[in-house]
Amino acid sequence: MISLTHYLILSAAVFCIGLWGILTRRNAVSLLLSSELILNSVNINLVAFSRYIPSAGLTGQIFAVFVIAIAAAEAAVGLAIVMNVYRTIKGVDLTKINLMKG
Amino acid sequence: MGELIAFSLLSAVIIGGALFVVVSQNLFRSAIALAFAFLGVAGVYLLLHAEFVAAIQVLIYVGAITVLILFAVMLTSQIGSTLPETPQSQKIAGIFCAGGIFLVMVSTILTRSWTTGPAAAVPENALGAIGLLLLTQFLLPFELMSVILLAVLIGAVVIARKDDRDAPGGTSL
Repeated sequence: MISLTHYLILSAAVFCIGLWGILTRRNAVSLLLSSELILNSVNINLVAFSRYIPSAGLTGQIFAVFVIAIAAAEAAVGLAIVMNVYRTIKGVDLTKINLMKG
Repeated sequence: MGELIAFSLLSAVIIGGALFVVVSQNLFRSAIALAFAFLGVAGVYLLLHAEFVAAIQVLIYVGAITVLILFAVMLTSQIGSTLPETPQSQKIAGIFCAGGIFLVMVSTILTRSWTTGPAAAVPENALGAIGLLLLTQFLLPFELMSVILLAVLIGAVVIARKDDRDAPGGTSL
């Protein structure tokens, strides 16, 4: 019925939607939202492989749990940086964050 | 048959939510749509017999990360309404890039013959097996994760705190 390829295509679709979000959005927080989509797509991939490839066992699920933890850590630090930037330049427009530009 | 219906519904929720996240100009609505997408992904995990990961997904992604994002949205309250939109040419270029990558991935997925046996039998006590693996085979990543979380805790507080060195009281750091 539902084979591995269904989950892989779903994961690829979510990945590309998140990628488009990262490429196009101008708000810094939107960037983090899109990156969370990408991490979720990777997790779907991992858990699907863990289920459909017998030799994988539970490794995929544990990997996914670690990815979730890392994503939480990344979101926390990323949003802390965004708040700091907001305090400095009174906005979160990505095209205005160019202080390091030569 | 029921699995197919469930998978289609969940995929619709996930992809619809994801599209709303990347298209909407209202940041608050983007964050809420992202929460819906996370719930859809948790449903997909349940479909894949990964109950532990589904519970962790709801707890951490929907429960903690969504709230964190909403906090940040409220505190950097531009809400996207005053930002000029990205130019149309950039959006179309983005569609070409993301669409191209999607087509490459789908063609690879469909043409490769995945060496899948029958779907693995779900172990009786999956949660216990995961716990055992975390403490035996994956002990090092487990301990490193706690170090990472400690570093992130301290780092996020240091980065986000108000810099009041000019205030008469000052901070001790």
